[in-house]
Amino acid sequence: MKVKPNVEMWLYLAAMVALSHLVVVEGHARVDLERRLAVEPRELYRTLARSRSGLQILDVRPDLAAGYDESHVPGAIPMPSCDEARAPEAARGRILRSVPTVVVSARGDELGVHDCIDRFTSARSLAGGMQAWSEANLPEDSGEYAPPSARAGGGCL
Amino acid sequence: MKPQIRVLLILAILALAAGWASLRRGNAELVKRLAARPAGAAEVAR
Repeated sequence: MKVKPNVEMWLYLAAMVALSHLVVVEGHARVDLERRLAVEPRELYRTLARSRSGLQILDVRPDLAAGYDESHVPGAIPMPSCDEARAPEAARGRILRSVPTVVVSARGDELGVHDCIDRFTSARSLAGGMQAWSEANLPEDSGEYAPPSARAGGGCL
Repeated sequence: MKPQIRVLLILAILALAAGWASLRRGNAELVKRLAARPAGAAEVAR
């Protein structure tokens, strides 16, 4: 069957528009599903260890001194109670809403965690929170937040 | 229509179809994992 070139072009374009729409719909569904599914500590560790994933880790435990300063996921940014105003001065400009984010709370099931997740474009909580991370014997850092140095090389976990 | 343009359009369509299929597979996997969670965890998540 011979199709006119003009018609053929429109058919291809229509197929591309339809497929693009499907990709966008599935993409939205993916973001929504990921919000509802917490990331397991070992899965997060593997992601962090594998590459510089561009993942943002936020520690939202309310007590900075007893929580973040005592132990935290390496590279995490403190944001007590998910309130940027309560974050240390050095951390404030580093919290980005559009970056893929993992929210770390004390146990992972606190009431405010999902409100916090909803404030980010793509965010998940850490299943079991910092407690599960510690119980899994994964590496921890301690001490006050220090922004990464511009000259820092790729460290390892 | 030039053959090169036709090939490019077909490749773009195939890439989009592959991307969509991959997203669908991933989403189906996530749905399975969500369904496998304990009931309590699902309530907390919402």
